[in-house]
Amino acid sequence: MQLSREELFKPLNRQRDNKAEVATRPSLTYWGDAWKRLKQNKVAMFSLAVIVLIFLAAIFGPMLSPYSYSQQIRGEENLGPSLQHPFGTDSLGRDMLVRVLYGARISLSVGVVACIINLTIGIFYGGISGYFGGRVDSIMMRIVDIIYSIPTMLYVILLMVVLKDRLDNLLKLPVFSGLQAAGSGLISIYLAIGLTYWVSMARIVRGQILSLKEQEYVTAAKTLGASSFRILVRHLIPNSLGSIIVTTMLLIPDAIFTESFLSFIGLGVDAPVPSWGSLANDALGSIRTHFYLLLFPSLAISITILAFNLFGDGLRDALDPRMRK
Amino acid sequence: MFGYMIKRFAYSIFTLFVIITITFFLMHAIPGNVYNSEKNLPPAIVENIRAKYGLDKPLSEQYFTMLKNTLKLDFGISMKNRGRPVNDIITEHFPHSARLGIFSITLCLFIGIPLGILSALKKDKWQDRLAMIIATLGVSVPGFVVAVLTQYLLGVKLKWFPVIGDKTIYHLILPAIALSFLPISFIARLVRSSMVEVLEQDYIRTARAKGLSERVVIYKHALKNSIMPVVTYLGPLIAGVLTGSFVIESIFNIPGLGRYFVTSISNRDYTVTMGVTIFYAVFLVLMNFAVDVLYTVLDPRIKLKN
Repeated sequence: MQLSREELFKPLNRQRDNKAEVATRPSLTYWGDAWKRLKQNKVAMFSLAVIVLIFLAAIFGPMLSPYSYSQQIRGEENLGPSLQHPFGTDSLGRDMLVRVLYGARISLSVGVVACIINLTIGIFYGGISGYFGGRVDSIMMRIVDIIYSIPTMLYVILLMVVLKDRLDNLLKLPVFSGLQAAGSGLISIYLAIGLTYWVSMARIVRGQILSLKEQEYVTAAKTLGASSFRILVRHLIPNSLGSIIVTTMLLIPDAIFTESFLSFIGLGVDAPVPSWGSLANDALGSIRTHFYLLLFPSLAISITILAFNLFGDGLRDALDPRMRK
Repeated sequence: MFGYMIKRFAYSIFTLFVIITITFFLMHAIPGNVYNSEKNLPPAIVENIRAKYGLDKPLSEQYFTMLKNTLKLDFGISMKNRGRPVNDIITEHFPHSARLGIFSITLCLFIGIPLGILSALKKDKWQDRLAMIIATLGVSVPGFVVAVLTQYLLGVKLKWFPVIGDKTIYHLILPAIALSFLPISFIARLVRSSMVEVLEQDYIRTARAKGLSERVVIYKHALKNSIMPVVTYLGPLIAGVLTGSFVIESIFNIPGLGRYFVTSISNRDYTVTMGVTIFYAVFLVLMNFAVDVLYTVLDPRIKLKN
């Protein structure tokens, strides 16, 4: 039996079925798509909420507290956790809650400032190296290789020793009176971490740029006469932003970790300014009798680093599904 | 192969040279003289002391003297601990650190790798979930927190382990746990992801199709390739255990070089700080070289071009 064309194919009823021609879902940008994927990841969203909470507590907590971080309340030394002092007080009668909250300011600021320095150096170094390629690239990458094989922590420590002494003198100059409040310890932590951790960022940016610069739109931009700088800043860096953000998110916990380590060995912030590491260090002497003094700062460090790690993992999965393991 | 090794070795030597130079100039960027803290010293004595440590000579001369001495593995004399050579300090304290380090690294490998394998074999079952939760916690809790918590709970409260010192292997358990908690987690994640990948490879299917038992397939065929990433991680692992020991040794009162290094920083004993930094740097760079060579020997897939 032969089938005619009309029997095999039914014409589409344009009046009724024209919806079939319309995209049912709104088109999504790269960022919209990533956000959608991130929202589905419950762990990452919960971590994000925790991070936001910690930031809010760090910013507003010390303002709302009736005590200041250096205020010593006579007669209320070494109190355990109570309604009045939820985290207890230390041996000088200082409220631990406000000290832990203030420590959050210090630790988070280290994470953020160190990351900004890393980002700036890393993006430009990696960007220039990747974009120009050839001899420039191989020389710049050799330098990175050498820095990479230098044990980081040793150099952070050495830099801290040197910077602290230098800054102590510099801060006495009237020009820097505004920075005095931060203290030489904190500023040297910013610089020491910022100056040593940019290497991995530079490597990642370079890798991205190397592969992106072969794309047609870069050729098009070149044909139109765009300058190298413009191509780098307007085309290549924005397109590698995904992996830059992920690397940054995973660098923040590293920086916080390093800060607490340095403060713990006594190289960090200057007393009486508290950081989580210095609080934990201060608590060591009285650990057998006043365990809570150690417990709260330790919990604060661990929860913050955990939240950043989990959120960073989620962000990586959302921004670049190919990297998912 | 041999050519690669020579090239890689030359590269390590150059790195060391850069490290020594950076260290030297960083330490000399510290303003004032080292005896600033002792205010009552008359200038003549300060001059004498400066002459003794060669600090009165021009910077370039000091630099070359130091370079020559470093080649002879001579790191100078402690500035605080009058007259004691830094070499003596290193030979006395480093064995303590080395013992703890070797014990910790053994712990890392013998717990981390099986944990990763278990996770991969029980992928998405409760064993995997549990192991990965532990691993995620492990990379988030700083070593000194683990150290102090275990010291307090397992040592002081429950009295299961001795709290300070490193006399016996038994004393080393708590510090080693603190040092290896993070690397164990990292290794477990590393082995899990590479094992999962390897188990999907064709040669594993071939091995199964040949009728080999599951045990042989996993332990003889899959394991070899899945622990290769751990070999690359050995370098950072050694560095991590070494720097981690700075605090762990202080907490557990172990007379190792890490604790001495930290004390030298707070004492402003600059020759010791510099000497130990260079010693550690040499040690780590040579370890990295050894790991690189080991890796190329173990994995024939790596092409020795570059």
